[in-house]
Amino acid sequence: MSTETTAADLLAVVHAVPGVQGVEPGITTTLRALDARLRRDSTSRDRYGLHVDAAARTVVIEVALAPVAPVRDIVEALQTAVQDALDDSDATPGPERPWEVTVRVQSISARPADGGDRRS
Amino acid sequence: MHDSDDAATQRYLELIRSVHDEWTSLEEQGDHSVQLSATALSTIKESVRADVRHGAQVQMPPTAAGPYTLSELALRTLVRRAVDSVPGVIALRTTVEHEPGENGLRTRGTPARIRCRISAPATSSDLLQLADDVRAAVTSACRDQVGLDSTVVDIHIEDIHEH
Repeated sequence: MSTETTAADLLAVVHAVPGVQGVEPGITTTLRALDARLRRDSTSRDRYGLHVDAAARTVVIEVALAPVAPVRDIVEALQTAVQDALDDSDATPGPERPWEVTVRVQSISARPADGGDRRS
Repeated sequence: MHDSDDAATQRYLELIRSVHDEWTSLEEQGDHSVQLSATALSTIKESVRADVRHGAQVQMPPTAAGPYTLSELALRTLVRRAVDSVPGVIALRTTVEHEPGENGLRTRGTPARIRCRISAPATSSDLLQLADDVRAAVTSACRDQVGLDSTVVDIHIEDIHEH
């Protein structure tokens, strides 16, 4: 029996990708995350910078990057890591259309990162 | 201004990490309720400031794994880094013209033309070559960093400075 990936799990996956400094939300995901908490929606996997639509199988992630690799490579690694995390936890076995992961790169650090996981 | 953007971004990232850690800790205790701590409330205000900093989202050619965008701020950072990588050159202002976008008020299409205003070193003996070097740096950055290979790059030498 598989366990649905939690929002905290997804954030950990995001932060573990080399080149990702952290989630950097825009207004939309901020309001969505607050809305989910106001409605006490324990099934929501929304966080600042992260929106999961399970019905549409789409994910939006908003991040800050550090220039440790080409932007495009970091983005693709992030998309793949999140897709794998969601696929591994799909509760319903059988063929499903793949998760579409849209990444919004909000900022790129002007200086190279120190390296390592920045998650506290 | 660029350093202050970077510093503001770092503060914002720390704030978001702090709130997420707080929520994760509460959820592990089974508490999914609203936690409108002062920190959480601050994120609303900071997200508005951040949104102004970011500007609109600019569409990029999708990766093999899915679609992505760059904020106008991120795109300017990439271009500025490329310009500044040419010895002696200082990036001034960058403007971008876009292809028609897909949808959304705050979404721009892929960059069609990038105009870079620069300051050249007074010691430069061949400004034409210098402009070509800057153009090559920006073109390479667009191609190698984000997969843009048909963006036109214009260079305008706006100022001369003592190196």
